[in-house]
Amino acid sequence: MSRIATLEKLVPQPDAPPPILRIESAGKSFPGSGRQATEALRDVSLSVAPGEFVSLIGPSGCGKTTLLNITAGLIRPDVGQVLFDGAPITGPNRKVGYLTQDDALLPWRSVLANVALPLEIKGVARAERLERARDILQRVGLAGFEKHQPSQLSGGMRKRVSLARTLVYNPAFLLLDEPFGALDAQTRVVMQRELRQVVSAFGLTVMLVTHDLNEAIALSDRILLFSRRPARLIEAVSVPQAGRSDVTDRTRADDALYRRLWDRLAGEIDAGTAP
Amino acid sequence: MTDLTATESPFRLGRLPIAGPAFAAGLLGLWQFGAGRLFSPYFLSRPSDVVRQLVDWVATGYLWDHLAATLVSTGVGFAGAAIGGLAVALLVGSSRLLDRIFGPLLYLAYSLPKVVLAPALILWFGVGWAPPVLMAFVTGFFMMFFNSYAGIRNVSPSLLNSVRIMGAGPVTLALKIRLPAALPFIATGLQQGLVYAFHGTIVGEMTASNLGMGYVLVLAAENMDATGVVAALTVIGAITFILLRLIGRALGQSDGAGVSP
Repeated sequence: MSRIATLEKLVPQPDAPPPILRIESAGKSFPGSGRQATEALRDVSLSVAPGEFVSLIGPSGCGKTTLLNITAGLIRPDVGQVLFDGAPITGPNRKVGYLTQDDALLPWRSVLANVALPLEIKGVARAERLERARDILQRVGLAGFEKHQPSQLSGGMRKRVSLARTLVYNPAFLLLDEPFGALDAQTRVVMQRELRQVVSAFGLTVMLVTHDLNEAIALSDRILLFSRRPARLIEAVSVPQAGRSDVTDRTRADDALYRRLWDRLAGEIDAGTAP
Repeated sequence: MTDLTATESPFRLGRLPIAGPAFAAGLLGLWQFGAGRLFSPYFLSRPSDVVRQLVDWVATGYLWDHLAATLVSTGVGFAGAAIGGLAVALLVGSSRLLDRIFGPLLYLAYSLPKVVLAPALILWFGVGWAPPVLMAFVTGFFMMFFNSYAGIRNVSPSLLNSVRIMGAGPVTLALKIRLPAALPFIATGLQQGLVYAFHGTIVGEMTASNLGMGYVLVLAAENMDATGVVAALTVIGAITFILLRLIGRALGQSDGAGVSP
């Protein structure tokens, strides 16, 4: 079985730093309509090293988001173990930042008050949290928009606000669930570029769910390909990022990788839609 | 030229702003003229008598005494309903456990017509101020509760999850996220709750009080006084109309009529 061979690649090397995230044989089903439960994950094992950028790709609705939710501590796997920073996850994981397609801003709060929200919840004093929020807004290029309401901003700007809100409490690990899926193609490239800068500036570890193979190739150190539901890990590919200066750079190796990933993915999608 | 709107006559009836009042005036005229000719004023009275009655009630202070009682009962009952309904909605809407326990009970209580409570209230509290206040509370409470509850349950799960990861506990979620997110629904609850509380008060007064507009209405009916009945109904209708207008204006809407849940 080739699956066993690919899983072996995931075992960390002896000299590698201990993984920040380690998922072992995780499985999860959700109660469906009637008696039939929907199995979202089956026997998924993976680990993510500190500072690594990992993309999860697979057919729509295959259970990738479930993996992010498990890492965020929002749902618990039925079977298997999940270790974050060496400890099992028992509740909402406050060491991660989670960015979804929906920007999840509070429409009744100004940009500044939105970004300061995580610090407010942590009990940081008002003056300090507003200063930190201003500081981070400047870093994502939103200086001057502090007083605006989210409804006054474009989709790309709202995305930056939610990125700033995530970064303001210094998470080491970012979970991104198709964060740029709802943006137009040009804004998406701008945001990908910005994400790259932020990730290297803050030294973040990232797990990104995306349907955009080019996005996965341009940003990741490693791409994990999942089967149709229930999601099983079917391939792990390392992506050489050295020498890439921008998300729009494309090499011949990228084209070959794109074709290879797309062939595997297409096989899963076809199998899913066949009668 | 293809300006289609220009082909419409500016003299169409629908454009006349007085169409509504003109129709109402016509009905009043028919009522006034028909009384004693088409039907007996013994059952329907006539507008001129109703106006005379209202003037008399105002002059003697009779109207004010009873209207004040109704408005005070409504205010007290509604204040309790607004605070209680919102508090229960926050608790039940924020906690899955409380929702499981109390949700079905609240629906069951809501599905009972509140009018049936009035006789029971006489049994428990006798005739006096308590039944109208409690009727206002009960009718207002459910309007407030179900509207606020709908708003609180309507908050997007992804929004809640994103804030949970920031370390927010259930109390923070309830006060900083659920409550402000539900404000438009809460406003609708206040609006409908106030009008329902007013009507609840009147039902309470009709069955178990000797004060208030509901009592005035029942007293007139028992005395076979059609003029008094119509006059009391006119006052109740006018107050309802004014309440809806005032709340609608406070909420920045063009008309105060809300949608029933």
